[in-house]
Amino acid sequence: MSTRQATPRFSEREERLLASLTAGGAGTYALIGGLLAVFLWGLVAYATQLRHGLGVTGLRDHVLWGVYIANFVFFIGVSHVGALMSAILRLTGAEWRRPITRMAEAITFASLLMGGLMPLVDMGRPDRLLNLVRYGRLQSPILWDLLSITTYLTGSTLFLYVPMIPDLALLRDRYAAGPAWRRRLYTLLSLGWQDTPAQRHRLELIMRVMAVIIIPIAVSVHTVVSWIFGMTLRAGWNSTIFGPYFVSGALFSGAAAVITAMAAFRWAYRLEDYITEAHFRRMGYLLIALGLAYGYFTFAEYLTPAYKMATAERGYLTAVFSGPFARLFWFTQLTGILLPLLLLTLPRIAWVPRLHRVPLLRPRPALAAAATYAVASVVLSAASPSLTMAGLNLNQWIPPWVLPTLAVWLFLAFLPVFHARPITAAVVASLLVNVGAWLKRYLIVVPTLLNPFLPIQRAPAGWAVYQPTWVEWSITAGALAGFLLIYIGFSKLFPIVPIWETREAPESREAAVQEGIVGVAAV
Amino acid sequence: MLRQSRSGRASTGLGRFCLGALGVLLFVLPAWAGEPARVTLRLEAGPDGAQWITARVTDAEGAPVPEASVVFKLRTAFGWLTLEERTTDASGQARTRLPAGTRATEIRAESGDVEGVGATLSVGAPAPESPRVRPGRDVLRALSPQPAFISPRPAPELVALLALVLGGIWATYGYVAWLLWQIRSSGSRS
Amino acid sequence: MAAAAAVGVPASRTHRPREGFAAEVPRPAPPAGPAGPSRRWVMVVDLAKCDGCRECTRACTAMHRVPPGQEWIRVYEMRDESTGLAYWLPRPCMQCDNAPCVKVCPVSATWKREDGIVMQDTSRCIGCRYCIAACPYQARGFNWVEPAATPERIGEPYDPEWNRVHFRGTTEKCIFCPALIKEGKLPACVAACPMGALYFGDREEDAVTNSQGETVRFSKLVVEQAGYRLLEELGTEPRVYYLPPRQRVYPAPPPEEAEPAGGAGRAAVPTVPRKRIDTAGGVRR
Repeated sequence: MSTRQATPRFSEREERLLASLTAGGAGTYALIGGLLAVFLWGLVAYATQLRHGLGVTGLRDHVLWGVYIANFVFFIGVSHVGALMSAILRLTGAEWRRPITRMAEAITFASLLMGGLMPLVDMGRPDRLLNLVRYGRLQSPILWDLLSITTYLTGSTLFLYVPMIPDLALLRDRYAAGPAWRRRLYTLLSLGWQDTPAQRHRLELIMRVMAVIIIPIAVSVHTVVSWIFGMTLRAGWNSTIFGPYFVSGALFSGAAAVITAMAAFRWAYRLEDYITEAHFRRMGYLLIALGLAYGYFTFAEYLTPAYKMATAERGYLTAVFSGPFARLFWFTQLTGILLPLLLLTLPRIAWVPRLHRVPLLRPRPALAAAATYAVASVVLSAASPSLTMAGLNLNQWIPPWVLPTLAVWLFLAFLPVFHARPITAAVVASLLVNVGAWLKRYLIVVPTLLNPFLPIQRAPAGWAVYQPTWVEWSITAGALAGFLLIYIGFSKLFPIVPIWETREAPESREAAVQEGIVGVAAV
Repeated sequence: MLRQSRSGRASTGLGRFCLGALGVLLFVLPAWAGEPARVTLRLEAGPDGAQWITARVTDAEGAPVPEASVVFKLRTAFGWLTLEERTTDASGQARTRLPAGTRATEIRAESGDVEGVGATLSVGAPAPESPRVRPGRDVLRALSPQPAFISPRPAPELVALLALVLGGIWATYGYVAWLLWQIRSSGSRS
Repeated sequence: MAAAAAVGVPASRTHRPREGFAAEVPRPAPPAGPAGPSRRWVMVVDLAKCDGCRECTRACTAMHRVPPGQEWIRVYEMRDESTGLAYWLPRPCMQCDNAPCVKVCPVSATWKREDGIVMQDTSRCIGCRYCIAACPYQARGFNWVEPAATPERIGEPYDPEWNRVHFRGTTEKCIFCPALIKEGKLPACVAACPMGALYFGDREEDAVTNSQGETVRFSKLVVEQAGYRLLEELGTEPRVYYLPPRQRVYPAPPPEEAEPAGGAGRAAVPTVPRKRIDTAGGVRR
């Protein structure tokens, strides 16, 4: 390995990116500390579950799967962003993807780890985990999951690591005089990269090969996850389109996750030069396209059985359309799919800023009205039991048209704000998408289980409803915290925006070589 | 049947008594003689390969009993299944045919009204075997419409398919690892 | 030798010593009972005779020490449509020939035996609960907490055919009492039914027997009384047949309790006087 004589020189924007690796103020430590605390609390909750059994959750014989499996499907869904950004966008020649591919692959890596842990958390006998290997039945979708997710995790790790090799070489050279552990890490991982044409050729070959095979692997991953449900006879799960439905939902929520990550890193590490408004606009287009596809599948998935209302499906369809899950269902569809699409498209209309000329159609009055409504409904529902006993039905006091009117008012009032701040719009949309995605997974798992073929009878009290306990919520929060910890830790170890891939133009590469930044191998 | 003698007029009271007693005996004797007291069973194969059970009902004297009802029963797992009810013919025999494919262990024939007289024929017990622990596709084919999905081990076709697909993917990973190794070794050479 | 191989399968293939208790009790030679690989066990439930007393459930729970909350044979109050007939329906595990639970089990902890029974090995079960999700009859239960009858607490080794020993975090269900069958006895629920509504037997022999000792031709029963199977359209090929409740022998479920409960809680046990049928008179045939 050749030794560097001079410290390589980076441009100003690259210096800023590299500084983010080592710089960390009180805010960073507070964030990491907080996440660590939440993660540890999740571990405490899991220890409780190991000690007392799954009875500490709200799961019982009827709702046998709940928050854990919703987490599993959610995390595995988010993990599809890696294949999307690195592979699909690469194969379609979208050069603008370069600054964000590593973020996306890191999301994939972290979410596959957390998602893969969820079925373990859900198992009744984790001590018998090796039975899956010893006695595994290949006809079971759980085995397909195991094979598919491990294959995808390996592929994604390669896809995360291999494009990072030139950057690791840069870091190896930069931190030659730096802290020993960083130096050793980068030296080890950079595989003796000297940027020779032969090495570069092999790297490109690896990227081309991986880009092609990772796409069918990624598609297969969420397809087999959907077949955990799709291979049962239960109404609501016994659907032929579950495979593409879940894959489209996964791509949708993954793309949204990357938008959130882009905004977070852009703000935290001041990467405005790398991650521009154009990136958000293009990711927005991608999100719109994926959202339309996902909305189409969702619509088909519910309209088709609802048109017929066959006996088996009547129970769960009524439950989500107008029954106990109605509010959650409509909230999820409207704010998880429709509203983000509106937020990504409508603010672009040119005359939107003129809305502010309409009296009261401004943020503050709308927020005040919304706050009044919130307070009023909280107070009324708290006072409701005693007032209902006195013969007054409080639901009549708040007309049903109030809430939709408020929603439209808020939306129109904030449209000009989003027009002026498209990045904010994209981030709000992406957050709504992911919240909606998690709720959607919950709505796929639970209502079907509460509407089986034979009626629920002679069950102990509380077995016919699902009330997740603190253990389940804590483990969920812990998994999310773990995901963020892995992600932030990654961004502290490795440059979150690829340096070598984002060099401005090929000419600058010659200049970079002459400046001694990229070594010429004397082969 | 005794005939009254034509030769002369009825004799004195003693003769009448004898006649009367004889008459009574004539009425009683058939019933008394015909009470089923024993049943013997015989199992034989018929000309068409079917199994026939023949029950012979005899009275206490060993004389065959005609017009006696015989109920044939078959021993099943948890009880006696009534096969048929037949009436003996003149020679005191009743036959019934065993259903084809019966793996009978015991056959019983009962005769008589109140307290049946019966006989049991043991036609052999199958060796007691436990069912296999996890039978495979070959056994399940007789039971299930989808034996390959029910069996503990997958069909070779599925294994081959998965091996092909996954093998191809992991072979590609191996190829990538080999390329990485080449990158490393070419770097260390410089 | 097939017999020896079947009988002498090493215990380690099916169940190892679990949970630290004493080494596996050597398997005794099977008694000369009616169990065997050529059997095809089947159950017939005469809905006209079931009066909802739930003796079957009580007997099963007692015999297997079924953990609380689970009912391996559950008696439902059913009404097929709102103006129709209300009746009681005992639902054991259907031991389906095309069992959805067997298809999805990732470790083969549940498997289809050649005598028709779908067995359960709770010493191998990893507790993923996929089988419970797959079963359309809700016939399976899960041990959410540590059961009372664990191997350590009752000092009895685990035998999948007895299924009296339970492990936390595993799935269990009715298995047609193979241990009792081996001893020549009817399954616990069948033997306990005071109405003789449950019949059990070998389909190959075409004979089923109930608790009153009546042995009848299976095919005759099902054909003459229009026997049917639950959720036939799902293709699970269950091994439990139901005889429609015509000319029933007992009163119907009370009308207000005949609505399928939507989860309000435990439905009340109907207080219907039980009536033993004597073989001479009351049999409706």
